[in-house]
Amino acid sequence: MFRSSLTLARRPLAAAACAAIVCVGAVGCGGSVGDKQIRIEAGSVASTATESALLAGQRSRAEVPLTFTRIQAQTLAKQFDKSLQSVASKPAQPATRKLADRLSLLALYGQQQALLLASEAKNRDQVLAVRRSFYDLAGKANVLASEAQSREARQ
Amino acid sequence: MKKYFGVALGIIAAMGGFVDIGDLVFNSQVGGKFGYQMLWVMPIGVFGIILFSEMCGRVAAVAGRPVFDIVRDRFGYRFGLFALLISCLLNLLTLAAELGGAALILQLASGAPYRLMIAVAMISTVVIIWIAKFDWLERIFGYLGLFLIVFIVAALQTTPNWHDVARGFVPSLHHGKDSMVYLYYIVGLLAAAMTPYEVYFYSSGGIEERWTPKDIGLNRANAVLGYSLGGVLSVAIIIATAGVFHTRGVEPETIGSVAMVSEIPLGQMGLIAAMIGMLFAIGGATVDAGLSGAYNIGQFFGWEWGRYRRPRTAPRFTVAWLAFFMLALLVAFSGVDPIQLTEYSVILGVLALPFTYLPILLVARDATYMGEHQNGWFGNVAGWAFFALLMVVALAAIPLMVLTNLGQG
Repeated sequence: MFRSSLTLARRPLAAAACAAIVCVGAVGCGGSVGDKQIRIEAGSVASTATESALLAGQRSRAEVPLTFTRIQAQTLAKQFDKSLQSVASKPAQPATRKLADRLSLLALYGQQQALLLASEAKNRDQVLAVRRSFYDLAGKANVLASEAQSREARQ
Repeated sequence: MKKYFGVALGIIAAMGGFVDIGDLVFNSQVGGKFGYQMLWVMPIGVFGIILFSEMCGRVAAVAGRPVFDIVRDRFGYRFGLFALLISCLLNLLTLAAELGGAALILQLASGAPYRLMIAVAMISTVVIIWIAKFDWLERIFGYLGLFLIVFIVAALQTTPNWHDVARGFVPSLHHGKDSMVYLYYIVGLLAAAMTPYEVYFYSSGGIEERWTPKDIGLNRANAVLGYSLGGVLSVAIIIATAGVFHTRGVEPETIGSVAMVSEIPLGQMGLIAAMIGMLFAIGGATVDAGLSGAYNIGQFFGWEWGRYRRPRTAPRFTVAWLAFFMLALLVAFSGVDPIQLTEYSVILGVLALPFTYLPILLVARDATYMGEHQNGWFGNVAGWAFFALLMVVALAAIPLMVLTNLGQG
């Protein structure tokens, strides 16, 4: 009895699992950019920028080893790139497109600064300058996230 | 005296072995995203892993039967084979994620290329499994994993508001735009605490160490104290991440970020201790996940299995665990992001929880197998209640993963 009911349950379960995997793929890979995604990605850029600023701050006090700083900064550059790829060159409504373009620029700038931190981690003055630009970037990304959230709420 | 020493060693090994890459990723993400608000999930997850580990350890000690022996017995060959395939796939994903996690830490420490570090992590783990006896495998990784205690110090150093921390242990729902994400992370925290391979390994370990009914007390002490203290480490990671990152609006998404949680309040020594602890905790999980896959196959097909046997006397088991490591190496080499792989393996692992825990519960309450050591009323009531919870979590896992796009929103 128990076994046969389990057997019956197998096919729908397998079908649901396959459908879910396809859906996750579809959500992750394609589609147009909406205000919600702009809000999420802008929040992500702000978060990554603040984290990068913290890393730069700790490096400027020589609390974090050089190698760790370089590798972690490269990883953070990839995080910025992920945000960039998720909004750049994807179809969007004109007003949302403007937000997406601003976000793309911020993410690109974050990526460049993170790579600069990776390559100049020995240079304390440069590290401090990068730290300031990361805080600035985080502020701008937060503003953008708020704008996207307001638009999202209006719709 | 020797007996108490053995208990202490087992507890320490269980404590150090509780935290793996799934716990590190989900605990730090939860602390960064929701602060202390989700602390209440941890005691539930820890209670679940204690409940079922104690049961499967007791079954191993009394009936001498590990998990997949019971799965085949209770579910029959065809459905048992289905459960075996799911568990093998999950073990493979978990193993690849753990190898990737270990490689990331080695890369942060050395600056060497990531793929080279994957190979180093894989080869060194295989060599250690090959040369070390089973109890030493547990101890090496369990003890060095105890460097994770640095997160308790870091959590205290962030001077948390204890009133807020205490309030975090009261179950609550999250209202607003992130309510679905909150539910996703509840599933993630529970799943990370109750990863199936931990139970496979714990049960098989009982057979490896030749537990008898006399060891039921040792099993209970290991499960209750070891996992509880492991849960304390997880809670500490959440509190420390909340103190360091949540207050600054940072949602950590990398292994290096988790190490920074200890570095920011404690300085360079904190960073080094965190990296050692994480490396060995993940290394221990790599051993557990790799061997668990081979244990499950060996137990299901009735092969000679176990690390207490020489490779020559258990050749198919030896080939199986080596094959798991080779396949995981290929998955990790493919360039897939180990953090994303971890999230997939943890969330998909939820689907295997009912298949794993139902047969344990059925046998642990069965007097024909267990005699006087069968579950008492508390074990039965708690076991069925927790099984019902696992069913709900398993049904919710995939929809939440899709709706929140892996917790992004």
